[in-house]
Amino acid sequence: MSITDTKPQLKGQNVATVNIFRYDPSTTDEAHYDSWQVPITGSMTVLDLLFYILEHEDGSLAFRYACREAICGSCALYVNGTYRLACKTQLKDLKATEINISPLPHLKVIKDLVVDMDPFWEKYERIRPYLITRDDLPEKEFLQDPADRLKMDDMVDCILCGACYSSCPQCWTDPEYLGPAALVKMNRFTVDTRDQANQERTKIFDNEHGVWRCHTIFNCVEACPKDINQTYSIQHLKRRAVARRFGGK
Amino acid sequence: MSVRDQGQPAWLVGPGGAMAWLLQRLSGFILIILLATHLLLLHYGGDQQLVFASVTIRLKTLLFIIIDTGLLALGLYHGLNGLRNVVLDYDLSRRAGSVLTTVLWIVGIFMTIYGATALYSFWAGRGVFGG
Repeated sequence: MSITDTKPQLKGQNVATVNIFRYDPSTTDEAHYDSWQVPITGSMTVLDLLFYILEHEDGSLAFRYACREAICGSCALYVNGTYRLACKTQLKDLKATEINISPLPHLKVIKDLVVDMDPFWEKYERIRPYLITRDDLPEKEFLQDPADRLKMDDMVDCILCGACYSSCPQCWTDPEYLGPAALVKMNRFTVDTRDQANQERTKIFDNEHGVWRCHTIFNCVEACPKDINQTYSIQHLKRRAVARRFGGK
Repeated sequence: MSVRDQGQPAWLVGPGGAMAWLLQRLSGFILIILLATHLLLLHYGGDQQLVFASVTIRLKTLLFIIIDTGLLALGLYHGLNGLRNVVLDYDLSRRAGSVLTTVLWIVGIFMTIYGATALYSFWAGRGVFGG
């Protein structure tokens, strides 16, 4: 049975024109957009749309997904000129009958909608995204004041989808710039009262490829599908770096 | 080898841009005050005619000279530091960044001295070029 045997009939249904970025380096060096007419239903998401095309139109379409509930960060895409999570975005919210889907811009495309996230993860690893302690570990658990925990509230929502990294002009021009997601995570650990590596952490973000490359363009804030304020975190790190110069913590 | 064992790349160690960032903001704030005072003095202070005699009188006024010296030095610092920030966006090597900073400091100091020779000529009781 071919994949087209089970294709639903479009008659009497709402139909959207879907244009998807295609690139397969094993067959051609040229990228192009493929178009399909896809029947849409009220609660259909962009990820459902991609599955429809995979099942009924072209089984070779490549895209990433995992959790389908906006928590894994795998399916970030550029949809109708906006950074979105495919699983979280309902078609009705796009308010368009023509839907353009591209991979995250400014990252190397591996195939179709799949991009190379290695530079993103490399920067993420550089900031030491884990709790560092000097004292002996507590027997049971680290206790933390609820007020202190509240300070990290915005930052712990990051799902590392890479939308901010892809949207940041500094990441486009400076391949060594840590990027918004890594710096948000850095801020998450610098405000964490349990972390004891402030001095080492400052060395990582207080340099010309760290926070000082951020010119508060706010692309990251606009792109973030989890509504995190990355620029606030970066500015907080800048103030912390200045405070350290004058003997602060 | 785990990521934790790799240590930090060499470029991560060393002085950052904290002071440059702080001074850019401080100079920007002071420039707003100086510029407003400069404009107020020009439009409402003393003889407002744009002729040699009135300009000479203005350049013999201590307050005007202090404000314009501040405008000259801080304007140059703010502008050249901004230029440095723009150029550093293009992934310069550490050495190239240091050379750029040194060159901009030399240019800034030279232009401040050059501008000051014009500002202070009348205060010293001499003409613009010693005439």
